[in-house]
Parts: sequence; C-alpha cells; structure tokens
Amino acid sequence: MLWTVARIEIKNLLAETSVWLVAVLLAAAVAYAGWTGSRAVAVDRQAAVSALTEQDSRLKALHARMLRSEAIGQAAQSGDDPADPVVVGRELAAQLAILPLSPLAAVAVGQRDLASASVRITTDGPQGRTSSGETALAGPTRLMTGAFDLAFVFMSLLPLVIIVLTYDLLSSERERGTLALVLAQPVSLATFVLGKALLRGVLLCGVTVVLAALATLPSAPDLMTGDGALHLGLYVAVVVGYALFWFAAAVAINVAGFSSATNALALVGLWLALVVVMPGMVQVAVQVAHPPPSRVELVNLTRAAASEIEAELSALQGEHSAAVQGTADDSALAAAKRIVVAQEALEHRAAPVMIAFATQLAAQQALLDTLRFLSPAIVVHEAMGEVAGSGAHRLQQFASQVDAFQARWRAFFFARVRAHQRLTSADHAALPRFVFREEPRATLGWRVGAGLLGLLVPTLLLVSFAAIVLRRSSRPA
Amino acid sequence: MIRVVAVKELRELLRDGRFRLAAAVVLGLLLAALVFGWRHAQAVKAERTAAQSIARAAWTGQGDKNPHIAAHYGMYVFKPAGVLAFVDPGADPYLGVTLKLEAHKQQLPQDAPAQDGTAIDRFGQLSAAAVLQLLVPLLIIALGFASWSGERERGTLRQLAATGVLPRRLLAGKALGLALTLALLLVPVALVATATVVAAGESATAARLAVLLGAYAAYFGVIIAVTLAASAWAQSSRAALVALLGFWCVTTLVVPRLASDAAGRLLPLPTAAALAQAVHSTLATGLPNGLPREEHIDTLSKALLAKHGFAGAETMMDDALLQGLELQAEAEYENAVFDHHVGAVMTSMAHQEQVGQWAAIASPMLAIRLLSMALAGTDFDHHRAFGRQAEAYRRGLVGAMNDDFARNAGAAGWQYKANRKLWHQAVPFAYRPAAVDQVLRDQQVALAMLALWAVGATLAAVLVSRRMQVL
Amino acid sequence: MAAVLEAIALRKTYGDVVALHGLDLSIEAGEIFCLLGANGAGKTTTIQLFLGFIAPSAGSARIVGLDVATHALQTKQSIAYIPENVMLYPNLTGIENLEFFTTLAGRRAIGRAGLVEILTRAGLAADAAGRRVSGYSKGMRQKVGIAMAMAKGARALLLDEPTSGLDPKGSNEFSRLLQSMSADGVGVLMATHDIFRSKEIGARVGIMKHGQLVACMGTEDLSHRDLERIYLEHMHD
Repeated sequence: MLWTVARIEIKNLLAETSVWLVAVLLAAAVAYAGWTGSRAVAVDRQAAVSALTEQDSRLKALHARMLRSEAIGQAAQSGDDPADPVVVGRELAAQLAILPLSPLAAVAVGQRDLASASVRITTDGPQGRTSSGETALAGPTRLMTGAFDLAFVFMSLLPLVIIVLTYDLLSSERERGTLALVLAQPVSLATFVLGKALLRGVLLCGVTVVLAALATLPSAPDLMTGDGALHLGLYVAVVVGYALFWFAAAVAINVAGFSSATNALALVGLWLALVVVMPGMVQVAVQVAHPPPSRVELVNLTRAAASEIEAELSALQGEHSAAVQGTADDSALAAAKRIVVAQEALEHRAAPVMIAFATQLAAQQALLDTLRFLSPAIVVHEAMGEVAGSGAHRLQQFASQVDAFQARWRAFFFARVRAHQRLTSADHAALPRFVFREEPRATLGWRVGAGLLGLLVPTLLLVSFAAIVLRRSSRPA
Repeated sequence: MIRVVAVKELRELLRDGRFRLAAAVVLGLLLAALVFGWRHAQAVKAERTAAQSIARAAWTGQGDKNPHIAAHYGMYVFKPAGVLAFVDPGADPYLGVTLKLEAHKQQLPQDAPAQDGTAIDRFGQLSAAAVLQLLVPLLIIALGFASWSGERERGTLRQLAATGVLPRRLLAGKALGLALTLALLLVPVALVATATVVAAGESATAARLAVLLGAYAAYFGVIIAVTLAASAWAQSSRAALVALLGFWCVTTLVVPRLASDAAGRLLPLPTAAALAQAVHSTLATGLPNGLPREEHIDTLSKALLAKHGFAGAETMMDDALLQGLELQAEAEYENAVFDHHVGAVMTSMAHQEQVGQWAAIASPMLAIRLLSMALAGTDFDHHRAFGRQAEAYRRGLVGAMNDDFARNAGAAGWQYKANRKLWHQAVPFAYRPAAVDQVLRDQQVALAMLALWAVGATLAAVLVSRRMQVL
Repeated sequence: MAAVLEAIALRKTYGDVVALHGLDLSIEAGEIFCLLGANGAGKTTTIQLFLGFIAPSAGSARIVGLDVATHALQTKQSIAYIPENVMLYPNLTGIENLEFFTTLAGRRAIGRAGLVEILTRAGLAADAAGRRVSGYSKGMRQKVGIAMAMAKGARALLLDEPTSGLDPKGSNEFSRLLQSMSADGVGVLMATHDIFRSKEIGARVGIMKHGQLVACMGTEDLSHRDLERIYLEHMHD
C-alpha cells in the first residue's frame, strides 16, 4: 500500500517541472558555494604557508647573524643586535601564531573573516598585540552581508527549497479533489500521508547527503588528514537533521488541514521566525546579559596609564639604545630591565579590562550555547562553524593558547633581561615556537552532538504532532 | 472609481484575521527595534562624546614637550555613530571606531564592535531597517498575492469585468488599497520616529530621515507593483505566492551575497599584512615609478624652502628651522606613500560598494539597503569620509607641530619645548557628515536602480493586468 | 435481499444546525436510489456519512451490514464514489490513474490489459486512456470514475450530482453505464437535481428537505410530469 502511494508520488514529482527547477537551483548554489569556499581556503592556506616560510628564513638569518657575531665577538648595531633580548623579543624574532585551517574550512567562513586567526607575537603586551592579517581585507558590506558559503546555503536556502517542494504535500490533493477519491478507497489518511512523506523524506535525505558530500569534494585531500572524517560525518549529519526538521514542519502543517497558500505563508513565516527573528532576539539577549566592555574607554584608559609611565619609558629606551651603542653592556642591560618593569606596570593597569573582554565574551558564548536550542537555524549555524574550524569555540581556544604562548615568550626574554644576560646562539636555537593544539575530538563531538539533539527533538515533536492529528481525522474536506 | 476599489480592498484586508496577526507581529518587531536602536544609539553617542573629551584633555594636558614629540604622542579621535544609526546600523558594527592620529603613520580606524561579538551577530541585527527591508515586503506579498488570482478563483473577477471598469483603474485601486493598508501600519511609526529626531534638535538629521522615508515608500511601491503583476500573471494564487516568495528569497538572500562575492572577486583586496609590508617597503625606498626616497624628500624640502622664501639660503639658516622643514618634507613624502597604498585600498573598497549599487538591477532590496545605510550615515562612504577628514586633520596637526618646531626652536633644537598654548591652538577635530544632496549624489546609481525598478514593476503590472484572462 | 446501503436513524448536526434529522434508508443490491432536493437539503451530507468523511452525531450508516464509523476501511472495500467532478492526477494518464486507485483498493491482479478493457467498457477509447488526464473533458473524467468503480468491483456506488454539467449525450451515456452496473447487482445512491434522469434510470426516488426524507416513491408508475409536480409540491413551505 505504501509502495503504491510512493510510486504514484514519484511519477507526480518527476512530471513537475518546478521540482526539477528548484533541485537544479539548489545544486547550483551548493556547487558555487563549495567552489568559492575551497578557493578562499586555498588562498588563505597559501598566505599562511608563505608567511611561515618567510618567518623561517628570517629566523634562520637571525640565527646565522648571531653565530657570526659570536665568532667575531662584536656586538651589532643597536636595534639590530641579535644578542639584545629586548630587540629580539620585540622585533627581530617576532613570532607568527597562525590558526591552522580545518579540513572542512571551506564549509563556513564563520568568524574567520573577523577574528584574527593570525597574530604577530612580541614581548609587547596583549593590548599592543596586532593581528598579522594573513587573510585578505574585506569591505564592510561584505562582512555585513556574509559569504555565500555552504553554511549559508544549507542554513538559509535549503529550508526554502524544502518548503517549495512540500508546502502542498497534502493540501494540493485536497484542493484538486483527488484526496476524496483516494479516501473513498480502503486507505487511511495516515497511510496515504506516510506513503507520500516517506518517499519525499527518503529522496530529500538522499539528495541532501549527496549534495553536502559532493560540495566538499574540492577539500577531499584535506579530509584524509586529522579529524577530517569525523568533521565530514558530523557536517553531513547536521545538514540531514536540519533538512528533516523542515520536512517534518511541512508535513505537520499539511496535516493540520489549511489551504496550500496558508501552508506556504505559515512555513515561510516559520522560516522567518527561526532564521531571522529568533537569532536577532538571541543576539539582543546575549548582548544585554553580558555586555562587552567598551573598547573606546579601553583606549583612553591605556592612554592615561601610558602617559604616566611613558615619560619614564621613553627616557629609558633612549638610555638603553645609547648604552648599547656604547661599550657599557651593563648599563644597557640595566636600562633594559627597567623597560621591562615599566612595561609590566603599564600592562598591569589594562589587565582588568582585557580580562573583562575575555570573560564577557566567554559568558556570551556560554549563554549562546544554551539559547541556540531556541532555533534549529542557530544550532546549524554554530555546528557549521564548529565542523569548519571557524566557530567561536576554536577561535577562543586559539586566543587563549596565544595568550599562554605570549606569556612563555615574554618569560623567555624577560628572564634574560632580568638576569642581565645577552642572548646566545643556543638561546636562538631554543626560541619558543607556537603550535596550536586542537581540542580533544570528543569535546567537539559532544557539542555538535548536543546540537544534533537540538534538531532531533523538535523534529520528533513535529512528527508526533502530525501522527496524533492523522490518527484523529480521516476527512478529505 | 479607483477610490471605491481601494476602499473595498482596504476593508477586505482589515477584516482578515491573518493580516491582523501578521501586521501586529511586524509592527511589534519594528517598534521594538526602533526603541532598542534609539537607546543603543544614545548610549554610543554618550560614550564616544565622553571619550572624545577625555582624549582632547589628554592632548591639551600632555605637558611641555618638543612639538614633534607631541606629534608622535598624537591624538585619538572616535567616529561618532551614524546620525540615523537607530534606524539602520548598516555597516557600522563592522567598521572601526577609534583612530590614532600621529606623526609618520596613517592608521586605519580600529576596534570594530563586531570583533567583540559571538557568531550569532552574523545573522544580522534585527534593526528597524531589517524589518522594513525584509519583513514588510513579505507582509505585502502575503497581503497581495491573491489580489487578482483570488478574484479570478472566486469568480468575482468576471463580475468586475462585466461592470466595464478599465483594468488599469482596478489595478490602481488595488495598489492604492494595499498602500493604504500599509500606510495605516507604518505612517504612525514614521511620525513618531520623526518627532523623536526633531525633538532631539537635529534638523539636518530630520532632512535625512525625510528622504529615507521617501526611499522606503518607493521601495514598498516597487514590491506592491511586483506583487500585483505576479498575481495577475500567475495561473493560480498558489503559483503567484510561490513565484513571489521565490522573488523575495532571490532578491533579499541570494543576490546581495552573490553581489558582494562578485565585488570581492572583481576587486580583490590585499591582506592586511601585505598592505603593511607594501607601505613599509615603499616608505624605505620610494614610490614605484617615482623618485627614490632621499631624492623625493629632497625635492619636497626644496619646495618648502622656496615656499618660505629660503631657497638657496640653507647655509645661513639655523639648524632648527632647517630640521623643522625637513621633518615636514619627510611627513609630506610619507603622506604621498599613504595616499598611494592606503588610498588604493580605500578606492578598491569604494569600487566594491559601487558594484553593489549596480547589482541592485537584480534586487530592489540591494538598492534600498545601500540608500538606507547611506542616509543613516552608516555606510562605507561615510566611514571613508571620516577617515579622510581625520587624515586631513592629522596632516594639518603634524604640519603645525613641525612648523612650530621650525619657527620657534632656535638654538635649543631638539631640546626646545612647546607648551599647552600650542596644544590648545589645535582646534578639536570634528567630523562633519556629508549633506543630503552629497549622499544622494554618491548613491546615484542605487537611486537610478530603484527608479528603474519602480518604473519597470509598474509597467509590468499595467501590462499584465491589461492582458489578464478573466476566467 | 440484503441492503448494501443502509441508514438507521442517521443524524448529523453542526452545533445548533441540524443537517440531517434521523434518516432511515435502505438500498438493496441492484437498486438505484435517487435523492432529489434543493441545495442544502442534506444530500451531500448523507453521501459523506456513508463515505465516512464525516462522523454521524447519532445513528449509523452501514454498508453491506457493516457500520461505517467502526469499520472505516472495510466498508470502503465495497463502495465507489463519484463526485460532481472526478478529479484525477493531471500529470498521469487515465490508465495510470485507474491503476493507482485500483491498487489502493486492493485489486492488483487486474493488470494493464484488464484496466484498458474496463476503461473501454466505461466508454473511454483506448488511445484516450493513454493520454495525460490534464487534457480530459469532464465527461471523460467521469468515465474514469465509473471505471474505477467497475475495476474495484464495488457493491455500492455513491454519486454526488455526477451528471451536472454534462451534455445530454454524455449524461445519457453515463446513465446507461449506471444501469448496466445496477444490472450486475450494484446498489446505487445518487444525489441529483435531474428529475428527468432520475425517472429514466431510477427504481426509487427520495425527496429531501431540510435534512429530512419527506417522500419516497417508486417511479415506474409515475410520469415525468407527475414526478415534477410532486417534487415542486414538496418544495413549497
């Protein structure tokens, strides 16, 4: 019986030009998004590689210079002295910390275009730390509009495609009058709807899986590396779960017995509520609950603290370079030590605000992790960022690892400054190197898994609603 | 006749429970967005005004020092929020706010608010502009998709046609009915918003708001015409609805992203690191196709000497004067380098925005979005104007400091210290947003596209309704 | 002979509005029963109650002795329904539509050739049966409806104004088909406005008014004129 209904459904679907049109449009959007995404990733990857290559050769040259000057036994010019811990830590050996691109980076740009995924690390404090900007600049409208990436296609467009294909699943039969003839047969409404829905559901899942997987083909080589397979699995599961949610919503509204036009409006209204309105409200809630400190005030705060210390600092730096230029190593190193002390005093003032930024952002993210369950679209948005390695969690980890690394970096140089030591070639060989440590795969798996649950639960609710309504009624009218 | 039709349409719509629900939701969101936007804008304004006066105090209270050292110390300026940011925050969240003005460096504004946000911000703010650009068109579509096709399906269209009314009269009546319904909803909100702005004592802003409201009215007119055309053209109400929802989805979701994607592809921007590197190396060597650095500075300083009437008299001048002029020559050289590199990036960004204006040919929403941002003072053009004015101010400030060095240092040379009198001579920086007519000139392509849509959609509605089948 | 369609004190109310006042009716195999009456008299309600599309407020509708309310699916094995407009899937051919509905009814074994033969018997030419339904006239669609009833082997036929809007020739053909089915032992309940046609084919005629069966008579000994007179008398308040 189910098969009979399903077979007629296939014939009806295939005869419908709009089905083909919509399917082709979706495929085109997915293909375009997959292609641009992988190209952008390739460009970023290339930029990171060349930046790191450039850094390697810079550090090698520095090391060589150090060896030479040790051999000659003569200090180089001030500001360019490979043995001066102040200059080397601040300038000559500056380290790039780059967040590696995940295997599925092409799926979602996420926060990658905003947050600094590459940082130039020196002994200067965190507020003086600059993004090294290894990604292309983007115009404000582009940032505001967002990228045409796979996350966008699946989060925003896929539901609309599902709506177009299923809004009149049952209502069209009712309006055409065929439903009355069907129900004059020994078939229950539930069987009929199930037959129609099962077929479309299976088709939908199949098409979605194929499209989602095909879209990542350009990234195929990367998928073999690291947690690529896990990310791919989670990503496909999220897309399919989201598709099923929308499909269940369409079935539920059809079962409720409205006209096709009402169904379409209600579904688009639901889309608007979940993809536009609810995220807007959650955004407001997050901002109100945990407002970030003011950057503008931070500027004045550091400025005020700096101007108190600045006079001293600039005098010290002058003294330092004068001393280095001269022969008196001791006085140079003493001056360097005082620079370090002054710098730490300055940072001490700004530290509470810097910490406030970090804690507020973490609190915002924690709240968002809960509030995301209010809308499957938010769940998908977050999950896409996670599997693409451009989500807030990974960027936060990067930021905190950079903080930790910088502390190590400064400790390395400041210890030598305090001990009045000049750097040796052994020190150069032992410079700290930044390596990003990914979080355990289980942590990511659990977070995305919770998101999947956030898709599954509303889907099941909708399905059970439809089942209850179907059991109660068999009316075609 | 038109009025009779319009009143009938209005009456039908107002009695429709679905409309009342949808209208209440849209109105609620719009009001909430406006109130929230207003409060946020006021808070931002207060914060930046306060910060600006602190920054000014830091400049004037910096103590006695050499004027060139003072130029190094520099001054922070903060970009005021767009005048109508409470209606349309536009690109403001993605644009830098704080800008340090100092010698030898042209900085770009830093600290864009979006940097301190979570991924949820990328859904876009639920601002009044978003409600007007996204939700209201959908409301119009929901109201009007069955305007013709529903009459045909009910059979009332036959009776209307039998009365001998001209189709275009009917069309005008239907359009008017829709417009009146919408006006009933939005005009009170617009009046309240205008009253608030006028009460805040900003008449220039009120002028912008008036133009903004006009632009939105035109946009809604386009959507009404498109809706009526589709309703008349489609075989059934269902088909009309699906076609209109497709139109909405493509014009508000797909085209804007494709357009910004295309703009980024057509006019690629360098990475921040590459830009910094280019500026750095050009500063050290010399402009491409130009003189090497030293010769260039030499030329500039000769010109300065000539300007001040010292040409050929270098040997007789005191050191400080010469040094002051040389510092200024160096600053002018740096300015040329900044103009070359940073200017090129800014021009590329402006061209990217221009691509967006042209892409409005495929989406009226893109046109109104750009116009709305521009009139609210929250688009890239305003940001760029702020950057330009601040840079001009920086150059003036650095010039004044170098000039003071040259004139007054005398034998003291680098030991010479200026005092607060000089710091106070620098008038505070004040950003002046462009006048309305300038904004409209900048947005002429977007305006033309909106007009094109208005004419095209109206023509389509008229033509389709004339040829419409009654049965 | 046993009744194939039977209404026992069948009542349907919508809030305060009574659509059907305790209808008692029995139609036997091979019998054609025509329900006459003004719009809103309760004819369609009666048919929908037999179809189980609406639930009775009291009493019961029975098909081959089974209560529709409790045996929703079994009763549908035995009936066929032809509405005023037989609506089919426009993108499928007549044969495909018939095949679909017949399979739903549980008659798989007929096969393509059998279906074509049935359609031919119902008066639809074989070449027309292979074309998409979107190009069919109303008469052709009604013939597919009859074919559906034949293929299903229905024992009772429920018709809701099936001939309204058909031209006289089509209407006549339709009546012939009905008569041949009733000769095969199918019980027919037809709601109609066509007094002339009811007399032509009907063994019995019932007149409904305000949800009640106000008259019930055999038509053999009545002339058309008599029938119309009786009908109009009942329509007077």
